[in-house]
Amino acid sequence: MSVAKELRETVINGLADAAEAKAQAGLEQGLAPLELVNGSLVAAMNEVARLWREGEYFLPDVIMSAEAFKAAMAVLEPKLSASESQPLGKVIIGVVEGDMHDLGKNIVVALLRANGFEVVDLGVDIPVATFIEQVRQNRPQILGLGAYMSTTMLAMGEVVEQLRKQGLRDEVKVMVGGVPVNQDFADEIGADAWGADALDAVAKAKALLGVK
Amino acid sequence: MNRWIRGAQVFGNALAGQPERVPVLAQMHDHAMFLAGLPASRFYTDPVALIEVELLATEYYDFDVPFLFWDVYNIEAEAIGQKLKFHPRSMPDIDQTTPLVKNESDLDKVKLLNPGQAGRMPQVLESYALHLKYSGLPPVLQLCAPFSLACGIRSYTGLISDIKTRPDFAHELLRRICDDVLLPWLKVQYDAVPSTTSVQGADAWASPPNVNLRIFEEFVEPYIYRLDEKFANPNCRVGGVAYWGESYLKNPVDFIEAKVRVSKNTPLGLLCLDPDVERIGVQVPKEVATKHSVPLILGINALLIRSGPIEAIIQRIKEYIAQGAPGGKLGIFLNSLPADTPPEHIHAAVAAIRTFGRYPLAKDMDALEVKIPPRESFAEFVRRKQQDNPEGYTFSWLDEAHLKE
Repeated sequence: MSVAKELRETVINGLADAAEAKAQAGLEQGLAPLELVNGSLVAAMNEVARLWREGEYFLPDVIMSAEAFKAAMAVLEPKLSASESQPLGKVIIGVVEGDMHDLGKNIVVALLRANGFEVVDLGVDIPVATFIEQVRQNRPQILGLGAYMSTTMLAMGEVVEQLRKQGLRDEVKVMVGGVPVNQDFADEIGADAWGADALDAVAKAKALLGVK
Repeated sequence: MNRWIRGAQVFGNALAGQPERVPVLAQMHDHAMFLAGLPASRFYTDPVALIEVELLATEYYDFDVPFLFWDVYNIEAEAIGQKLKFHPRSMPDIDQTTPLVKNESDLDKVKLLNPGQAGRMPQVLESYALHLKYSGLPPVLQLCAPFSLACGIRSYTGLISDIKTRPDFAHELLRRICDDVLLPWLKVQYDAVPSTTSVQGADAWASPPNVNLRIFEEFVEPYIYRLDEKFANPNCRVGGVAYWGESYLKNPVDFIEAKVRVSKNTPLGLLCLDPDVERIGVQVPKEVATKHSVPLILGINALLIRSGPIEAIIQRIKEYIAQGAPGGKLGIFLNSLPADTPPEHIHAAVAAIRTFGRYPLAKDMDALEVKIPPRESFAEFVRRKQQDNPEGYTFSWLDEAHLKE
């Protein structure tokens, strides 16, 4: 099996150390970094997504694959040229204030990165003012808001409202997600999209930016 | 007979298969807090506020029995030193970015040094005492189940990584959680309420797609059984609850069967929640419950109850009762009612349950009309209860409350 194929397999199987080693081996064999990223890593994550959709993979498998992807990417990314590493778009993402649940958000971040987005991950328990400030400073195309509790999700509406008040609403698309959130709630607060799960979030992010 | 004892009787009869009606209960801590307009910093740290508001909300909505199931995932973790975040508007939450157990040397931290005294454990014990005093009903004791507690103090991703790469470490962590944290706490709880008959280990983390069936069978089930065996109390058994996610499996029955096994010692029997039930249908869990002769509790989608419309809520309840109620042993559960759920939606849900859930069941449920009587606001209800207060509530929390008019 070629190193490129082995790299793809290690990511699908969620073997972070092996993925890092195979990425390094690929570079040493003179393989192009972009080819390894697209042909092995992205292809592997697409396969992981397929296995998830078909009920073969559960969250633990996806998490391990995302970790392997991250380990290999850490080797390859510095070798990409500036034009090769041009992202699809910039996403700022965080879990709203009062909420410490980061699992769903972390998976969304991993899959967005695997699909070519630049992601600024603010973490958890993020105040409304921080989201606004980050949008003002970083000018992302998409702002992603996560919540796990029905008390904290109400802060998502406050973020949208503040974006509006501060004249930033038309400059950024707002996506929401998390256990207590649904399309009705997204409509209610004036968000642009609701991600039912991490895969759906990636698909909606691409759709918002007009990317196939 | 007070309304609480009467409600428990209705509930018990229904689940035993001799129903007069389909009973209803709800998990609504955040909603109750919202109704009372209390800050979370008060509601989740003042047992009087917590119990009085929960019981008042239970009576306001005419639920049959109280279901006190609040921040059960945090109590033990906090007591052994896991960092929590307290926020004025929401339930305390484990800071999952800084797990207590970061590496092997941290395993020694997994020990409860002052059972009943550490963290908010005294508040839990006081809550039980108040529950018993006001309602006359011994509460079902609450624990964070071993797997979910491991997720809390190790982080979910950390635990999953352990399970995949060093399973012996994961087993050792779970063993210590059982023997050195949960069992001492369980004994203190039982001593405080010896009339109780059941312990519920809350275990939502151990649900698909968070876990697959292999992980469930190796890292979840055995530790629920270990607690029950080591507690060794024939009058008070331990079971796991709050599992969901069967719709993620190709064969949902496999996980439903597992739920029956781990939940068999709890009063709720088989609990199946939306959106799983929406996806797989009522008949699948109904058949498993019938096969094992256990009660079936169906949970209605919390987002549907919040968003409505009322017609859709009534339709969902009609469908679930029509399919689940024949033969008895059915209850309806309004799980995790969102904080800002409109009260009229909950009143409509209860009216629908009363209409369709009366035995003998109507042959044509479509012919039944759900009448929703006009209801007072929660504020009006509380004022009325202050005048007629057989429970002896203190209403001491009103100093910080902003009741919903």
